[in-house]
Amino acid sequence: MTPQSVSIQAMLFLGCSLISVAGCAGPRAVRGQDTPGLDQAAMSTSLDRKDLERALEISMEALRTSKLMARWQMEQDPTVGVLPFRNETSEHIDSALNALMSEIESQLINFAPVRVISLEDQPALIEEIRHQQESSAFDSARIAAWGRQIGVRYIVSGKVFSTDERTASARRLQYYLFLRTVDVETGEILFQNQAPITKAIL
Amino acid sequence: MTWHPKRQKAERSWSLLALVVVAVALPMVVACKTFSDRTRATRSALDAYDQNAALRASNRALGVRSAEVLPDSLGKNDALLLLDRAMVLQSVQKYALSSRDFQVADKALEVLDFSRSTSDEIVRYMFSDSAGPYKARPYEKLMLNTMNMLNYLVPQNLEGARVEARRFSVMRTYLLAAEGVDQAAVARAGIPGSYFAGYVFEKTGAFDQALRYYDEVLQATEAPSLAASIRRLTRLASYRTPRLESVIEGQDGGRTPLSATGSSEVLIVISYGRVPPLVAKRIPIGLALTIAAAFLPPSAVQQANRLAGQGLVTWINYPDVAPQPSQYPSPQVRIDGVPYTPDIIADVEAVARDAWEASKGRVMAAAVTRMLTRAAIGAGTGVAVGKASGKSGVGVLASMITQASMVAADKPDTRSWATLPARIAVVRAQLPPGGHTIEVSAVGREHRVDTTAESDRWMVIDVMQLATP
Repeated sequence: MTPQSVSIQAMLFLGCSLISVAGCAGPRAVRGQDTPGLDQAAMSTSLDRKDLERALEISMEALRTSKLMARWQMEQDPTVGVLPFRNETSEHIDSALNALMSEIESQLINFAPVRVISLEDQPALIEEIRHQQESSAFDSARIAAWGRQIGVRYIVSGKVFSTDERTASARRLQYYLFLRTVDVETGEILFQNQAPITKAIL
Repeated sequence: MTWHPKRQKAERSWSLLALVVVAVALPMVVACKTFSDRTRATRSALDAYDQNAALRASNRALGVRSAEVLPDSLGKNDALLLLDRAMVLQSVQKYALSSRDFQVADKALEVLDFSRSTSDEIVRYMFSDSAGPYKARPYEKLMLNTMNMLNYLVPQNLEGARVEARRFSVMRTYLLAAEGVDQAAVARAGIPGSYFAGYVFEKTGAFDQALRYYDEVLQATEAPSLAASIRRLTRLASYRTPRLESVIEGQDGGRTPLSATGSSEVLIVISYGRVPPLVAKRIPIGLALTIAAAFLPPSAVQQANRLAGQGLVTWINYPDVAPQPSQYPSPQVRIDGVPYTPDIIADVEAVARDAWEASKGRVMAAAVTRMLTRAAIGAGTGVAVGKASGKSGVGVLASMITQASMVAADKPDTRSWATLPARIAVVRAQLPPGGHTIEVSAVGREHRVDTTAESDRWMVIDVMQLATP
């Protein structure tokens, strides 16, 4: 072994030692508007704001061009209530789904010819609905019953499913966000749309 | 060969400098304690039945002041430390905080699972298995979602429990198909997860799904506590397997559907004892080679034997299961003074021991490989320093210092989820509406729960005693 090669070995060894002891800059708080692209990057397989915006864009565009919108325009400001979304995925996305519920209410208030009756002031009722949603017997007839109790003409509800697959080096989650509107009087489903979202760790 | 005095001088300086820096750098990577040393305080407090002290110790290990706080960023072992704290929090019935810790650890371990860091591998190869980030063992991954399901079941949050049940299923399905994973071991490790997932979907009203999960349990154990539920569910769902048919044809336990009696169903989950931690041990090189030979190339075995023969290496550092009593008396359960026989659905301790035994040869082989690397680097340093100084004695000394430093740096990887319960037992009982007293005795401690059963409802009572006998 020549001194040169030994020196290289020693340097390699030294490098490895230093890699293990080297620290990096500590975490710091940043502001979205000051950090370009901050909202673009996916941080996990959960649903983030960008996913929700995309799903909402697809669903609301479908609603705008649906027969239901024409029906609403013919009626005199019909009342609409938005129910909490059901989470049928393998991710804890409750807060994202609550945000989605509020965002749908906002969009309906701003763009649809309807009066929105918010359930936000009725937490006990929301809790009861959530409890009922846990049962697989939760269907459009039951949704219509809730609508009558709330005193609205139409109910917007939704659920999110996911297909979750994993390999040795990746995990992929395909979300399907279903949005539907039910006529409270008849239980008839007047609008239904699906928005796909895919997230993965590669 | 041409004589270049300046170049020779420079090389000499570099070699000496390298030696000095190595001597300085090594103590920085050498921590005095292994992972199990750092977490011993938590386990000791649990053994002293002092969960609050265990929680404080867990927080200290994580470097935070309270259980409400998460570390600023998750270091290489923090996911594992969070699992420890999650268990302690569950044992003191702080289910929301426990669930948060489990979720954060779950995400972190998932990312670590997919990460392939070259620098980590090099450091691991040269210094210690414990140098890289922790990668959870298959049974630990399954137990994570299993234990977190309880955090949702106790407060009757079926939606959250279903999320954990699905996560458990994704992991179980992946592990059963993964290369090099013992399927029988996965099936055994998955028993409590499948049991709880079946319960979640039974209470959700998804009866076919519940039966699928219960059938997974029956693939690995008998689980007599499931018989009555399976019989009831098969009247409501169509899913069948020979195992389910066998249970249906068995003797009826006489339990009637809740709606027929107006009674309430209680599921008592008793998690008791603790899986043994890994501890650092030293083993004679000869014995290490016997265990590791199947995992080493013949040239490495020869080289190791040569070093052993020269008396240069006599011991190998490696992690082993700590000696700990493995016999746990069955817990005693009484409801309103009437004794019930618990159904022990999981021997997590046996699963953990088997997993360790299965990986022992590979771990030992890695330790031998590191020993050979140390010897090679030590020899190289000795030659370089000897030539640089012009004195062979200095070279020998440098070689010894380097090897000794690297031996000190070779911390056995004692990382494991050592706050998992050794056993999980369940009791399922029908209670008439009204007040009831549930008494559970496990690992030398009595637990008393006063509860009120409501008509046609269900409840899960979690009793956790993470002490060892």
